[in-house]
Amino acid sequence: MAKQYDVLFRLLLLGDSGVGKTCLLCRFTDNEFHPAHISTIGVDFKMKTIEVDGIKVRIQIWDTAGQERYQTITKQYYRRAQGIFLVYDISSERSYQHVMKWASDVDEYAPDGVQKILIGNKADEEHKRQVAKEQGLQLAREYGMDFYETSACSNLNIKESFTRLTELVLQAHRKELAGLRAAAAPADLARLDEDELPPAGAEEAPKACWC
Amino acid sequence: VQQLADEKTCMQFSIRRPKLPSSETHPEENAHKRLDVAAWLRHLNEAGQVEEEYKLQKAIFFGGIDIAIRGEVWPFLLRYYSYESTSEEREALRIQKRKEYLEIQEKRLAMTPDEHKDFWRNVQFTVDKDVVRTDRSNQFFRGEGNPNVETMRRILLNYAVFNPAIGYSQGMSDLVAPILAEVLDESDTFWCFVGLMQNTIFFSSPRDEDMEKQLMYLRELLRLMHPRFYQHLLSLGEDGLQMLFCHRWILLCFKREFPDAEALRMWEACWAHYQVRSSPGTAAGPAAWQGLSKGCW
Repeated sequence: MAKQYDVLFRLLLLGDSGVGKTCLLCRFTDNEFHPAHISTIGVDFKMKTIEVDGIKVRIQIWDTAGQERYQTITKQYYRRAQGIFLVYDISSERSYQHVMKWASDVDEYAPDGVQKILIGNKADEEHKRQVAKEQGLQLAREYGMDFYETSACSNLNIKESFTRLTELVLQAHRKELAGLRAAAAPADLARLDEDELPPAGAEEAPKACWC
Repeated sequence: VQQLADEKTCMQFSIRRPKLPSSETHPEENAHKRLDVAAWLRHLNEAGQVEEEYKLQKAIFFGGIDIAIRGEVWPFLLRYYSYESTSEEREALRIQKRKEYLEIQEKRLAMTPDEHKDFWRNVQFTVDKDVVRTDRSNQFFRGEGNPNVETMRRILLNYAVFNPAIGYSQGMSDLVAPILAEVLDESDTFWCFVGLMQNTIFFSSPRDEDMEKQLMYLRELLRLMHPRFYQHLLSLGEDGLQMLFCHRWILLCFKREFPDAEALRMWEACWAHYQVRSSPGTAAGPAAWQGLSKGCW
């Protein structure tokens, strides 16, 4: 039976409360946008399979609560992530300032070699802009990260940024993945993620909306 | 409990077996009808006191409360009104409490610019973001510029002034919104919310040790009642038994996992404190036990 995916990665969305992490995720996985979404309590996740370089990548995206009070819970998820989105809101200087704090938490709690990209969300709200695009670029350069301005509302750079982070994670794991492109036995890849076995049957689990 | 796609409400669960075989249910499970106005009035004596608290709690635990009188009965469950109080005493209490509420609000409005800056950063910023995204599908909060959203906002801000140690945690808006939608009066809702925060599991204290304790109870309950599932979690490695996936269930008492009608029915059952020895100050674990054991597993 055809396998549903070749490899599974975990990505994590971090950033202040209300910068639009859940909306980015809903736009990416379900192509939906709800301007007044509910606040995330603790941690939630969604899954999506995308194809990068001929490899079917199942990505499990963990969406976190932005409020500091929940960080002891959310930090427990850092160590299992292979890629991290650091998200701020271009209409909130404060959320941009806090990226540094989020980045230092990542340094402390996430595994070495975790891939990161910087996201300035709500790019459609140009009239409320407090953070210039150059500021985002500069911060990303300082940290050696890629940078995207996105809008979950107008669907700007959503697919691009998720795909890019997935590519970065794939590159970082290319050794383990060698041979995959030559259509090697997919079972070998289970090594990459020992505790996450590929689904047994072709049947997808009933699709749940986790927002 | 089963995962289910529900495009409108984004629920994660549905009730998979709405009817349990009688061998698995409490013998009194179907012996109680929903508490309606007539039944409620029978619990009150001429002075308006609840005659037999235990009977009322039991009736609510098993049968729930008719939507029409939730606003009247919830203040008892949330310990705003005592069961012994007379109608007259309750009216006096409401007047007194409204005065206190306004004093709290005045305190908030009289902050110095520095105090206000701190308050804005620690509380108001998040409250403002959350109230506009809480229960907006509920008719009561629907639509742009709905004044009830502003009322909810004031209640949460005033609560943070009243109890600065707790301040505002995300999730509190989820708790206060259904109370406001039933109790309606701003001051009464505030004091019901105060009672809720004191007497249920939620964040009687927001510290992680308390959540850790709740999860420990849950693990233990699972070990005793569902050993096979417990073993399954055990086999997943350390993450399984951390049970972090239950964090929100406990914090919001399943509000996000079930449709409102079912969730509120569970809240009432928990709030009834039927056969629960409640001792304030012990972070009220029992409500979780009751909620979990009755509602979910």
